[in-house]
Amino acid sequence: MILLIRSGEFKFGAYLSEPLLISDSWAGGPACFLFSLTLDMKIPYHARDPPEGGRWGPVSFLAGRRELVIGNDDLVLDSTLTSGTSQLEGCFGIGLDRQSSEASTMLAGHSHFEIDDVEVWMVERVERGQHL
Amino acid sequence: MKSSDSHTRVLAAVKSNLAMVGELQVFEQREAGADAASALLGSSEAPAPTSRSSSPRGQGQGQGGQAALSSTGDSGSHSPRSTAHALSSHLHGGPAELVAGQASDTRYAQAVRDFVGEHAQLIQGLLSSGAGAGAEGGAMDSTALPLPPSVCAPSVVGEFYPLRLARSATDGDMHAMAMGSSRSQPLKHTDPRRVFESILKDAVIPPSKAAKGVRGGQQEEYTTTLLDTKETHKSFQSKTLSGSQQLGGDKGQRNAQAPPFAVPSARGPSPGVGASRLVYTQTSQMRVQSEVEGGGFEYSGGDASRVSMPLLALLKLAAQAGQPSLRTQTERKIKQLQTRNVTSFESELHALVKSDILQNDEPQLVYFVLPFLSRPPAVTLIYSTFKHGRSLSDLYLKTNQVCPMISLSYCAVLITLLIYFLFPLLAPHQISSLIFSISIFRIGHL
Repeated sequence: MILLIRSGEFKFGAYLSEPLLISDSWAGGPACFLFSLTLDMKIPYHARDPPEGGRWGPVSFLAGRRELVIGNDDLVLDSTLTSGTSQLEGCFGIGLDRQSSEASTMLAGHSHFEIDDVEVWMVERVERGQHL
Repeated sequence: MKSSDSHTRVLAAVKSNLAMVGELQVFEQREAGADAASALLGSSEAPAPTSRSSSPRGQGQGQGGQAALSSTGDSGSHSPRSTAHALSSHLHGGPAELVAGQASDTRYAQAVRDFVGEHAQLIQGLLSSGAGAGAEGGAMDSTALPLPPSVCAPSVVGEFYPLRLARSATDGDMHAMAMGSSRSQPLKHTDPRRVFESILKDAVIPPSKAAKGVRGGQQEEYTTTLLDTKETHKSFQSKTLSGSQQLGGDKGQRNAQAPPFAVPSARGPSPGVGASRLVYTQTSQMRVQSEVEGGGFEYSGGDASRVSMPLLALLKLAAQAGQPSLRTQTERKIKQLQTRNVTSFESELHALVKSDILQNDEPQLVYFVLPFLSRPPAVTLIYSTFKHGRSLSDLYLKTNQVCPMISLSYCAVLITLLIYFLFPLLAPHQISSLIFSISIFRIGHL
């Protein structure tokens, strides 16, 4: 699945290797990644600071009822899809300092940002109709 | 008249503050050589001679605090390049000395003090430009001053390092903060000299440390960067001004063109002693709260976790990150797929082109960054805030409708568990019929 977000002049999103189904358990894997269209960069999965309580093995996102958490707070969307937060270098990053302002502003320009638009795209293989 | 009066009062405040630190003569010498300053001095509402002499500290602060003006527009005749050269050469005595590391911290401290005296005209220009508009509008405007990398912290070397200066028209207090750096901190003082001193202390590193991280070649590199990004600086500055114009107006209203500045407060909120404070609202907008309680003023950084970064600094950071860009990866993917152009993916890209968020070549960037090798996947829009309710529940609902397989898998697990517990209670023929029914159910859904 592709998650696209526009926050002001910043466009970014995430590729999720599993569908967004509400759950209390972590899902996804290393195939997931974040990207920023505004900065023209892909933010790969590295899981340097993985979330606690995740299932065995690498995880990427938690589709909760109150918020959608991608990575270890790398990208968090609230339940109303009106605002979010970002702090890279948890599960996704490019080698920044986890606590730096760059890590918290890389995606949206602000650590706490407001969401203008959200789109979710399903990615599936043409031949088998299998979801990627 | 208001504008001239504000200019006069600002000039008097600057002079009194400079006189307070014994640098009035330097200021007056520079002032005499500047046309703009001469024009100000030649006005009919020039400050009284007593204000140009050494005045007591309290008097100087009083005049500075009562001066109601805002600094807008560019920083007078001081271009970023000239300012950068002036700062660098004055503080460190040139790149060669930086590399050699011969300058001592004592000289650095002295250089910081001397800088304020030698650039008093710049201070005056920053304060006096656009003073009338700020006084009449009652808003808080600002201007930006770039510093060269040789006088910045090692973490921001090579970055555009603007500084934001603003004076509240309501209370006349100076606000200053550094932008685009992880070391950005709100700075607060009541007189221009201390503002500049604090800015330099925050942004400038001693030559002994700078010599370790700065090479002689980077000085020239930054000069070139400044020349190349002259227009960028103008647009950046105009963006800052456009954002600051909203400070007194649309408080709390979200704006996509919000002023790009960063104010992480490492010290956290402090008790209100001062007259003005910067407060971050839920929408990360800065607003000024006037609290007339006398004396100086204290900053309240609000939530220290809320940080902003200008787009320009992020673009430079992304360029320095070493990650292949999405465009590069798109080109590589197309080559891997042995296609000469992207026309063969038009059918798959057709849906993404209809996106309300993606524009220009962004659909291609998103599509080709997907993990596939030889079989281009199809993409289908399943949720959009333009078409559906804005909530996570609606998003999950749409996702669940498109992905019944996953739901079915969960159902299968539940049925299996049910059978596991029902087995002891069922006869063999009942178990067989139950498994047969479940199989038919699954095949029907597949």
